[in-house]
Amino acid sequence: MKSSEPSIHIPEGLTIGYSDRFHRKQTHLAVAGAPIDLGDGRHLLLARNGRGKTTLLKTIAGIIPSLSGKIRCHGTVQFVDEDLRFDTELKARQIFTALFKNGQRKFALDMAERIELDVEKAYGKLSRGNRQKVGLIIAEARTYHNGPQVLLLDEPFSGLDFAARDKVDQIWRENEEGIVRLVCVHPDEPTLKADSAVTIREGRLEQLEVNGTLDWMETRLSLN
Amino acid sequence: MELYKLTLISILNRKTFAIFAILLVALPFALPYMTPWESKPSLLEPARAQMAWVLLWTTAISWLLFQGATIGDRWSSQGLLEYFKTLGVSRPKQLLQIWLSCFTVFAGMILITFVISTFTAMPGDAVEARHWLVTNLQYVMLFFLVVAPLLTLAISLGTRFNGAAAYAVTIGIALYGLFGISYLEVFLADNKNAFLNLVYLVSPHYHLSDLTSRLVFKLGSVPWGELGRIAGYLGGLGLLTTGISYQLYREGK
Repeated sequence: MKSSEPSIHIPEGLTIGYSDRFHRKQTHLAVAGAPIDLGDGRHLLLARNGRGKTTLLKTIAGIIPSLSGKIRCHGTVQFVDEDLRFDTELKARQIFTALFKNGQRKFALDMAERIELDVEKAYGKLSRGNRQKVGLIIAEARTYHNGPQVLLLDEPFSGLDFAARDKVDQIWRENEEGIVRLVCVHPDEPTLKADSAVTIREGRLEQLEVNGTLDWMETRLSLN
Repeated sequence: MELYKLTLISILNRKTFAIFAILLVALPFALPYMTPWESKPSLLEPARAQMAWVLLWTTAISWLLFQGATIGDRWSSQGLLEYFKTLGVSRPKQLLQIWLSCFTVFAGMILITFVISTFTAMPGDAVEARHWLVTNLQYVMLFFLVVAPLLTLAISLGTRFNGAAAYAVTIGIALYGLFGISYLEVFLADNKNAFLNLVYLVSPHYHLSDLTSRLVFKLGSVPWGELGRIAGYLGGLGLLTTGISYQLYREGK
């Protein structure tokens, strides 16, 4: 991979999980049986509840340490948690104004218009789906003219209707150069286009090749 | 400075600072008229200075520390600090930006108090006026040395515990340092207790920063040597408080 291309490298043997405060007891969630390399494009992260999806994303983001092994990321990392929230009194426009300047701010407002987010409504009065849109817009606007990017998105589509998901999907396709997207979704999500998928199954991290579109039924069955 | 801007815009949007700002401007002019000023008009100006500074302390304890504690709690609970961590904003930078956003608004209140106390209550005599100006400047410096680290502590405790607990602990320390120690001192004057003496020694003597009586009774500015010792003590205490705050600070709950 070129040095200007974003990437995530998960080495063989990397173990994710938790240790207690004094590092006496460790809870292993998953280990990578082979190296996993994620380059430009969209990669899905699939696993059942409690198997370590969010833990993996947080480990890649550097929020929590891995139990063994070291993940390498090239590019500006953003981790947008499913539960990321903002001040309930602020309007989305004010949030974008605080976080972005010029081009990125315009990108955010344009994207808000495309996915039908009311930027003049207080954040606390937005529906769950619309709050999710704020997080998605922030993640996407930050990538605008900002070098190689690594986006870690934890269930970004929860609460979004089909129309909004399609529009976000389209924006991602228009804006895919120079960005690695690792998107955590439930296997119950409708079929999504992807370049590869990372699965957590029976304590193992694996990378699956995907020929453009992931068959969600087959994936769901394999994860059971 | 995105965290700074986001926090500042949140504080300004909620507008509670405006209530305290209005009180800071109005009450120093209104409340002195509740003194027996008709029999002694010279009471008005010292009373105005006293009221201005008392209100600033009240605002620091009731508004500033509360803002710090609740913002620390909210930002930590809502995943915002973890988000900024992934963007490469380190813990010291996060703490500084949140602190700066609270203090940006509070600095305006300090300025209001300084202007009212210094220029609307200044004695007519030239020598007294010079002392008055210097005393107010000294007061601002010592006030800052007490309040700034306490704000850092309130924010850090808020990131680790809930906002109410963080606020309660911080104002408890502040009030003890400003007033509680005086009671301990009175007790120790008649009772020699080694443990309580040790408690007195290690307690935060924030009352040293309170120069209100020097203004009210026109005692003049603090001698520079003494000021240096007080500032050195409060500065050292502030560094210790800031260091503890940094250790307590967490990006996520």
